[in-house]
Amino acid sequence: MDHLANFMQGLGAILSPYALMAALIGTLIGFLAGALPGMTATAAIAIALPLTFGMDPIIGIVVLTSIYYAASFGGAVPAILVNTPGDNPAVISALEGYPLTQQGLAISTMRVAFISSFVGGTVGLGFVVFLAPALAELALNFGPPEYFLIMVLGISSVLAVSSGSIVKGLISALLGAIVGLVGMNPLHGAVRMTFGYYQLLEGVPFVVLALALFCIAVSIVNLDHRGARQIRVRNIRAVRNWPDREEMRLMAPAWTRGTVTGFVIGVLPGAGPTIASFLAYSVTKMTASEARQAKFGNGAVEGVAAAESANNAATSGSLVPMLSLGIPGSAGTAVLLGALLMFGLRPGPMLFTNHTEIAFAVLASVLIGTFFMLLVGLILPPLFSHILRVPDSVLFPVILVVAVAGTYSVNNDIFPVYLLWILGIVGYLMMKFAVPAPPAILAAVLMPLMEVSFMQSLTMSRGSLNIFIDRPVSLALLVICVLFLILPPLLMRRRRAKA
Amino acid sequence: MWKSNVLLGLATAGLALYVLNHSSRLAYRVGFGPGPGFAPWWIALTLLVVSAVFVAANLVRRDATLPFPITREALIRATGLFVTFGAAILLIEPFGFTIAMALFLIVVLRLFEDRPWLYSIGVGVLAAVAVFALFAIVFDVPLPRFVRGFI
Repeated sequence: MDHLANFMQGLGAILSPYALMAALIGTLIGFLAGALPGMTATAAIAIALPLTFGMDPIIGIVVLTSIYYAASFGGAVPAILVNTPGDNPAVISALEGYPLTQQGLAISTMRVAFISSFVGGTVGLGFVVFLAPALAELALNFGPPEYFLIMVLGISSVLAVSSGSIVKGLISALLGAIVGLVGMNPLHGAVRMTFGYYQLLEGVPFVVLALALFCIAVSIVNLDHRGARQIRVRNIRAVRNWPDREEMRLMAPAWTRGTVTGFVIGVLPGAGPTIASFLAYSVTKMTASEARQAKFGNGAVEGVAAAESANNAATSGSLVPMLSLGIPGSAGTAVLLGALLMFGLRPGPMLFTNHTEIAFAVLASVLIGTFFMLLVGLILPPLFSHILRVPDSVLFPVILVVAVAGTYSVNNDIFPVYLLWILGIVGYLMMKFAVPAPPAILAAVLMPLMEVSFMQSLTMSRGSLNIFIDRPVSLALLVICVLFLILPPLLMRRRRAKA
Repeated sequence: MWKSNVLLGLATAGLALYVLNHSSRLAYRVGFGPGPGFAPWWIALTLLVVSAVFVAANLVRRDATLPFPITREALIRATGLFVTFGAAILLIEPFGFTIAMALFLIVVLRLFEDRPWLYSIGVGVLAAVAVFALFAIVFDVPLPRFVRGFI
């Protein structure tokens, strides 16, 4: 109850009109940053940071935390409307949300995404308020073997996001894994497949890969036919603007899976909301009924609900190691950590003791931010959907221009834009050959982390694979991985036998 | 369309062979654990096997369909679009983002989409300026500008 009282005190500290205005401005900036392909929460926080220098610490932290949080809402809007995820976790929203747009459910699906984000974020925040110190302690038990198995778990969801041919999904994942290995190996310093370009030493930026495989590919596929478009979105009359009772019934269990999965993954430094959203989607697909299985890949609203709730629950979870241990789990939390240090706070075990009001004010500002985003999400989707009225012949070339600007913003350098062009050709051919893009994205994200974790694990154990069995948490994860691999075909066989 | 799948399989098999060759020059094992050549070697080998099986299966079955048919017209238009896109990207540094992207949009709208000249120029310039304003002014991204640094 102490935690709740402290949280209410923190909430009281930010309910002034000035603080609420700051939260609203931060929310809108963060939302815009999340919605624009190529822009990230990290970049938006870094840009806003100097502007907060003269502010009261609580106000400054409210602005920056609101930006961080709202960005995780924004990525779903372009994903659902034009199949262009604003950030990597929104890939699932593109996979399931865009087909729903083509069925006249754009506004309803955006509202589903925002409501799901709100649920995941708010419940995740509740976990943080009550469980942060205990969870931080648990997170310290996760070493390289556990991280490797988390990644294996993530890879197992490749099949879940492979709509259509499983073989092509596997090919896509392997291609993504190869892309993920480009650059300098962090443990041995060996340079792999950079073709002599020093700009590739840090690997292919994920943002560039995602923009190329989604944004560029979709735009060119739409433009490569004069007149009749292959992927029509214009002139689709809205069927309804709100989720119906059936969709609400499907969303509720998806929220539960998404929130729990997302929060647990988010607590682990480095795991990230992308893995959380893919895993939550995979679990939801695996446990769906026979009748709903056919919907996945063609507009399953529970897929959007699971992924978006997981994304925002992971964003909440990422605050746990940052606040409780002073360990940033991502680039966004690293910049936030820097901001807290700038304001004279020292995140870590003593934060909640020495700066109770400010620590809980940070959490309370997240709550205010999610409420503002919920309002945006309930009121503004009809406005966003006006994008669909823009003629395809104008919309898709402009999307290409936005992609170029977004890609340039990655390193403030032209090289990633050249890379975007080359990978865009690959993405176009992948789309034409019906090779799904999400497995490539997932594998490109996971492969570097998997390799490093595996190498570190074997170094720790002096080459013995027993390390994955000897540690209790690792053993539990190994059992879950095995279940993840054998359950889907078993469940499918059982469903077919019943039918 | 099974021929497209065979082509895809052959292309990915070729990539797999390249990665196998590249990774064979890196250390497979270092100390107690895998070296930098371990992961790419196994991934490339898996890709080669999967590609070979995929090609063989399509040569036997020959019944695949594609959601977006690959027609000659589509390939020619796509090639033209990528060439135009690439040329515009090359113009970004010497001429600035706004001018390069405005030219790109004008060319696409006029030549590829048959829009009137006035429409193409109007939409092209407006959209390029709007995107520049959003990224360079709102988000302070230092997009390349033309000579005097204005736009």
